[in-house]
Amino acid sequence: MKKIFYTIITAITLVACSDLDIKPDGINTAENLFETEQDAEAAVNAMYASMQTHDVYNQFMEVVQSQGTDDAEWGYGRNTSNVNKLQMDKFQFDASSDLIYRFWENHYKNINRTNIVLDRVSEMSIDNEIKSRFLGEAHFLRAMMYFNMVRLFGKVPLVTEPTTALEGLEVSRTSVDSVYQLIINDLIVSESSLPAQYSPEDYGRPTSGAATALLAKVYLTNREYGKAKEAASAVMDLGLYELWPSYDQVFDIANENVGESIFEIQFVGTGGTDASVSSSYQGFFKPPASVQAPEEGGFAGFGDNPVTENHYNIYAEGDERRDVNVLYVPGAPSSVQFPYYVNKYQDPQATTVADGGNNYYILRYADVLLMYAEAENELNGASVEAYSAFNQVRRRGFGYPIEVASPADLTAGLSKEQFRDSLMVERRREFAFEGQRRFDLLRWGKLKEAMAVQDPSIMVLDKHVLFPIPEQERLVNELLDQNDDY
Amino acid sequence: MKILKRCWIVLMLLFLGGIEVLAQVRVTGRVISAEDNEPLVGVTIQEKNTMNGTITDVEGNYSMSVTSDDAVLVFSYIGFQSDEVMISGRTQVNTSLQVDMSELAEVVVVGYGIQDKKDVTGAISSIKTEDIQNLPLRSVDQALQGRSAGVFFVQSSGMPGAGASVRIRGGNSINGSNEPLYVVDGVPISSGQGDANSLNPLNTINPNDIESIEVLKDASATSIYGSRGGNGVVLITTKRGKSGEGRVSFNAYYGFQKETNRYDLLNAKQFEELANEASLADGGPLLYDPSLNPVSTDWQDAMITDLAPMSNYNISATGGTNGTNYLMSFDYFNQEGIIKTSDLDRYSFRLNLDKDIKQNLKIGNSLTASYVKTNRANSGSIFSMLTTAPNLPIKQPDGSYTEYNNQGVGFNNPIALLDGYQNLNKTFRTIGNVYAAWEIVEGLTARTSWGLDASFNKNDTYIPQTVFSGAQVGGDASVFSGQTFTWLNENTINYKKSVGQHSFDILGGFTQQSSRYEAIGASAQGFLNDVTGTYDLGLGNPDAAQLPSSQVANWVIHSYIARVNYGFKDRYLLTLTGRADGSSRFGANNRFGYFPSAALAWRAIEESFIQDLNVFTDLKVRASYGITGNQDGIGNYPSLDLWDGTKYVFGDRIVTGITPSQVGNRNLKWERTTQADVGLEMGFFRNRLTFVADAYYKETNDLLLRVTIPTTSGFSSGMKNIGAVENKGLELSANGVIFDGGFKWTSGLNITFNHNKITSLGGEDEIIPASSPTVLRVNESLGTFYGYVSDGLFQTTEEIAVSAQPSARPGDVKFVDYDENGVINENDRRIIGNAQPQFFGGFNNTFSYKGFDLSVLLQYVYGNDLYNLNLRTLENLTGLQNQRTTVLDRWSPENTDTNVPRATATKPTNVSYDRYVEDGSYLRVKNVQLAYTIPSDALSKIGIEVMRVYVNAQNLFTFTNYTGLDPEVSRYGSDNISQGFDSGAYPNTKVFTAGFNLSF
Repeated sequence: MKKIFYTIITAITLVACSDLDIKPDGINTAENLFETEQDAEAAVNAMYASMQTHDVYNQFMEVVQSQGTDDAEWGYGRNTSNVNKLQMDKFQFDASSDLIYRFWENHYKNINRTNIVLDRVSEMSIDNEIKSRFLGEAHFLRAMMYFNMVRLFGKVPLVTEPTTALEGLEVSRTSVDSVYQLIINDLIVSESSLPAQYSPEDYGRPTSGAATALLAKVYLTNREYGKAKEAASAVMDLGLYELWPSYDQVFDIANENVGESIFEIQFVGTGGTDASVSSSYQGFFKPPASVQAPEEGGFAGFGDNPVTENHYNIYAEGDERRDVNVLYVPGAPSSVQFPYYVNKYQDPQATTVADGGNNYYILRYADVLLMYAEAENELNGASVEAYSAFNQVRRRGFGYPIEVASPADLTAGLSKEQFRDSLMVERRREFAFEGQRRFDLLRWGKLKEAMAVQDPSIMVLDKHVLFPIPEQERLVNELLDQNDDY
Repeated sequence: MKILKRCWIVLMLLFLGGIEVLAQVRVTGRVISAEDNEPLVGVTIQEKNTMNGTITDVEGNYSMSVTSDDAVLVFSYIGFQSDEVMISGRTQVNTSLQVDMSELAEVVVVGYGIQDKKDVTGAISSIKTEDIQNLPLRSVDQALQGRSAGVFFVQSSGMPGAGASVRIRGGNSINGSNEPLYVVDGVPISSGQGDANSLNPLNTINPNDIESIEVLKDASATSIYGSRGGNGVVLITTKRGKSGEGRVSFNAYYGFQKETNRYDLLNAKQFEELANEASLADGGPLLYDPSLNPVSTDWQDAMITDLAPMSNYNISATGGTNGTNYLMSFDYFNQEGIIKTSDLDRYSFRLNLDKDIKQNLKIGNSLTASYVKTNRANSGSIFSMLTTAPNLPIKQPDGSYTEYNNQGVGFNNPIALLDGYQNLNKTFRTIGNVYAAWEIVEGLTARTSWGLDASFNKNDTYIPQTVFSGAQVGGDASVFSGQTFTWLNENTINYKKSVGQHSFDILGGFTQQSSRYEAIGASAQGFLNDVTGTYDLGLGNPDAAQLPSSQVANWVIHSYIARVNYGFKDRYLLTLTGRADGSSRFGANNRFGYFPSAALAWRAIEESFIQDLNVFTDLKVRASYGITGNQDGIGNYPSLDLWDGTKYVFGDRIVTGITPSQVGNRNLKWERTTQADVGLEMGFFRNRLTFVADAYYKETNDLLLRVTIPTTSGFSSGMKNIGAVENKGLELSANGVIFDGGFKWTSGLNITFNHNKITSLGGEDEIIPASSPTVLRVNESLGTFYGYVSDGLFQTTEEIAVSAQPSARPGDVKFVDYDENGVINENDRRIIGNAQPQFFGGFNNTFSYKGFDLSVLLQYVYGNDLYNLNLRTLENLTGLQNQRTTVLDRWSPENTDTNVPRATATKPTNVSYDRYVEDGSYLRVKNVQLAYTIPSDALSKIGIEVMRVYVNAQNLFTFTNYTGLDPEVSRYGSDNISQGFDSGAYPNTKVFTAGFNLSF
C-alpha cells in the first residue's frame, strides 16, 4: 500500500515536461546584444528614430517654430479641434500641454538612446575607427537634443547615463551653463571623431562639418560671437558646401543631402505603407479640398500650419522665396479668412498626406553664411565680410547669380543695428517653416515684439519665453521645479 | 406557522377551485410523513395525465373526484419524494411520503473534484442547466448576469460576439486582469480580455452543452487555483451521458433583435443653423445659406436594421449501456447584427464519453470543437453614424459615396464602410481532455488527465476603394493569423475514509500547463479593384509592399496542489487547501508562490438543540481565510529587459535600429489577495425557503502596477509590485417556493454590496492616467471619474472679468476655481463620479400552471455613474459634427436659462467636466420566458417524450435615467482604470425569440 503510494507520488512529479526558465523567442534581450559591429550600428541607428516622430521633427517642431510664432497660426476657418496647437498659437499653453510633454518625452527618449551607445559601444571590441564614428554620432545627437531643450525650457535635467533600473530616476534641473558646457563638449568630441563625408548609403549621418556648424549656432546663441564666427568660417573654409543656384532647388527631393545640405532629418516616401519613416509636412500643410480641390488622382491636405498674412507680406518685390514658401489661394471660400498655406514641402510622388519624402533641414549652408554675417556684424559691425555672406543668400533668393553684385543687394553703409534688423528679416524669409523662427526670435529676444506686430490680441507674457516643465513629469519627479510664473 | 400554512391552502384552493370537471369517482384519504407519521399539510394531489387536482388540509386529509376507478394519483410535496398511487377501484387512498434526501445530497463541482453541497465550506454559487435553458445566450458568461450573487457582469456592447467584463466580488487589480479564471471540464482556458470591439473568447463554448456553472468566490474555494484564483474561478461543467435508454433532443429557436434606444440628432436645417451660429460667433462668415431648406440624411436610419434575426439549432444524443456513457451534440448559432453586415455564426460539436474498463478503472474524455465566424462592424463607423453632418448626402449625384465633409476633409463614409469594409474573424477552437481514474483500494483513487486548449484564428480586414481612406491607398488589405496551443497535465491522488465519527477527504497532486502563441500578419495596398479583397495580397502594388509581421509568446506554470477535508460528527467541517505555483512570467527571485487557505464550517442543524427549535430545516455557519494570486494581463516577460526594433532612413534606405522597449523588473511577482469570508446558510419549511448570506473582506497587495516614471529616463512607465486595493462586501440571496401545487411560484432574489477602495499606490497619493479622464487615488475606489466642475454658464462680460477664465465669453461653461488662484488649471480638477455600483443583483420569478411556465428575471444595478464620451463630440457645438438635439437649447443672448454652452467653432470645450457624467443605475426586465409543455400522453403515442414550446424576450424593458443609448456599456471592456465609459458603442438590443424543445 505504502509502496504503491510512494511510487505514484514519484511518478507524477517526474513527468514535468516543461521548463519554467523560458528564453523568449523572437525578442532581443540585453544578453545577446552588443556583440558585433552590426549590433552597435543598430543601437546607433535607434538614436535617430524618435527624431522622426510627430512628437519631434515631423510635426511638433513646426508647431513650436511656426504656429508658436508670427509665421503661422490656428483658427479663422482653418482649425481642427486640436487644443494643444491652439494654445501654442495663442500663447495660452500651460504645464498641462500634452504637446509640450510629448516633445520633452521624446527628446529624453533619444538622449537615453545616445547614452546607451556612449555607455555600451565604448566598451565593445570592434574596429576603432568605426567605434569612434559611432560615439561621435551619439555625442552629436545628444548635443542637438540638449540644445533644443535648453533653448525652449531653460534649465533641464542633465542625464548622461543610460537607464538600467526602475528605481532612483528622479533628477533635478541643471543650470543653463552646465547644459551648454555638455553641448559644447559633445560637439567638440564629435567634430574630431566624425568623418567629413559619407558614402551615399550613409547620407543623413552627421559629419564633422555638421558638428562645427552646430557649434557655431551654439556659440551664436550664447553670444560668444568670436567663437561663432570662427566656427562658421571653418565650415565655409571646408569647401564642401555651396548654395544651390536657385532657391527652389534647395527643397527638391533629388537634391537632398548634397550641395547646400549640412544636416537633415531623413524621410522617405513608401507609397503610404510606412508613415513612420515618411514626412507629414507635404500633406498636412497642403490646403484641404474645400479650399483647393485635389488634382485628379491626388489627395487633399489638412491645411495645417496656416501661414499668417504678416508672414506673406515680408517678401519684397521679386523675391522668389515667397512663392516657394507660401501658397496663396485667392479662390478660397469666404469662411477662410487668410488663404495662405505652406508650400515649401512638395513631393509629387506622395500617395497620401503622410507619405512625403521631404527631408527636414537642421543645418544648411545658407544658415552658416547668415550665422557668419550675424556674428561678424555683432563683432565688427556691418563689415564687408558681413555684407558678402549676407548678399550671397539674398541674391540667390531673388534669382541672381550668387557671386555677382545685383540690384537685390542689401543697401550699403548700414549701421550695425540696421544690418541686424535686415538680417532678422532675411532669416525669416530664407528659413520660413524650417524650424528656425522661434529659436531666432528667442536668440534675439524678439518673441514678444514679433507677436505684438502679427496679432496684438495675443497676450505674450514674459513667462512664455520658456515652456513650462510638463506637469505630468513633475508629478512623478518631485525634484523638478517649475519655470517662473507657470 | 399554522396560520401561514392555512393562508397557503386557501390561496391554492382558489387557484385550483375551478378544475373539477368530468368527475365520476370520489376519492378521499390522508397523507402523512413517513419520517414521523405527522400529517402533511398542503400536499398536491393530481390525477395523472389530467388537470384534476387538490391539496391536503391541515389534518392532512383530502377529497377529490377522479375520472375513472383505475386512475393514478400523484402526490407531491416539497422536500419529499413524489409518490404515484393507482387507486384500483378504492375510494380511500392513504399514503405516506418519504423525505427527499436528494435535495440535501445535491453535489457541487469544486476545484479538482465534487463535494456534497452540505459539506462545502467555501462560498460557491451554482447555476444549473435548467436556469439558463432556452435563453438566447450569446456566450456562456451572460448566464451569470443577475443570477449569481457577487458577480457583476457588463456586456461591453451589442455587437455580435462582443466581449464582456466579469467581476467576482469587485476588481482587485489596477493594471492586471480582473477577469475570473474559466475552467471548462477541468481545463483552465485562456479567456483574455475584451474591450467593446474585441471578441469574447468564451464565444467558442456552446451554452447548450452546459450542465452547471459554479462560481468560486472565497479563498477556501479558489486557493486550489493559486496564482490564478485571485479574481474568482468559474467552473463550467458540461453535460455527460447517464446510463439508461438513449435519448435524442432537438432544440431550436428563431427570433429578432431590435435596438434598445437611439439618439435624437439634429436634422440638416438645425445643423446648418448651429454651424452658422458657431462660425459667426468667432467672426467667421455665414457657412450655409439660411434661406435654403437642406435635405437631411439620417445616418442612424441608414445603418441600423429594424429587426435582425437570431437563431439557434441544437441536437444532442445521450445515453449509456454496459458501463459506457455518451453524450454527443451539434449546435448552430447565428446572430445577425443590428448594424448591417455584422454577424456571428457558431458551429460546435461535443463528444463526452465515460467508460468503466475494469471494475476499478475508468477512462473518459470531454471534447468540444467549435468554429466561430464573426463579421465585425467597423468601430469608427458607429461613432461616425452619430457625428457625420446630416446635410451631407450618403452618395453624390454620380452614384459614388460622399468622401469629403463640409470642411473638405476626406472622411470614411460610414455607409460606404458598411457596404465594403470587412473585418472577418474565423476562430477554430478545441478544448478537451482525456482522463483515467484508478481506484487502487477502496477510497484511494489516482487520476491523471491530459488536456488541451487549442485555438486557431484568422482575421481579414479590408478597407475598400469606395471608402475615403481605402481610395487613398487603392484598397487596404490585411490578414492576421494566430494560434494558441495550451496543453495541460494533471495528476492527483484522492483518499476518502470515514472512521467512526471522523471523515477524511484528502487530495494531492501535481499539474503543469504550458502555452505557446504564434501569429503572422501581412498586408498589402494598391489593388486593381476590390474584388480580390484580402484573398490575394500578391496582387497588391509591389511599390507599396509592406513587411509581414510575426510574433511568438509562451508561458509555463508548474503547480503542486493539496487539500484536506475533515469532518467530525458530520457537523464540524474543516478544509485546508494549498497550492504552490511556479510561473515563467516572473523573475528568478520570485519564481514560486504559495497560496494556502483554511475554512471551518459548523452544520448547526445537526445539533439537537437547533433541531428542537423546530425553525430550521438547514443551518450552517462557515468561515474561511486564505491567499490567492493574480498574474494575468501583464504580458509574458515583464521581468526582462526587452529590446525592440526602430526604423530610420539613411540615403533613402530604411535601416533598422534596436532600442530598449522595456526596463525589466527582476523582483516582479504575483499580486497577492488575502480574503476572509463569513457565510450563513439557512433553510426553513423543509427548505422551501432558503437564505445564503456572505460577508467578505479582500485585500490585494503587491499590485502589478504600470507606474509612470520620469521620462528623463527615456521611458515613460514601468511595471512594479506596488499598491493595494481592498474590496469588502455583502452578498445575500433568498430562494423560496411561494406557492406549490397546481399553480407554482418560485422566487429568487439576490443582492450584492461591494465597496472597493485603493489603499495604497506605493507611496504616491494619486496617479492620473494619461489615457482617460479618471484618477487613481488612495482611499477612493477604482473607476473614479476626474475632471472640472461646472458652475453653470457665464452670462455677462462683467461676470467673466472677475472670474478665473478671462478669455471666456458669455455662454461658455464656468468652471469652479477651487484653489482660487485666478486660473483654471489641472489643480481645479475634482472627482466627478464613480463607475462602481453601490449594489446590484437580480430577482427571478417562475410561475407554472398546468404545463405553462412563465419566468421573469429582473436585473438591477444601482449607484454607479457612466461617463458618456460620445457627448464630448455630440455636444461640442462647433458645427463640425452632428449634435444631439439637446444642443437646440444652447445658450444664446435670447436663451440664457440653460446649461448647454454657446455655439463656437474655435473654442473647443472637450475638456473633461461633470456634464458628461451621468447616473448609470438601471432596472431591467432582463428576461421573460413563457413556455408550454404539451401533455406527454398526447405525444407518447408518436414516440415523443417531451415537447415544449416557448417565447422569450430579453432586455424587454429598461428603467434608467441614463440619457445615452443603454446603461449596460463598457467601451474599454475589462480595463479596470477606464470603467464605465460609453463611446461609439454598438447599440444594445432587445431580443425576441420563439422556440421548442423536443426529445424522443
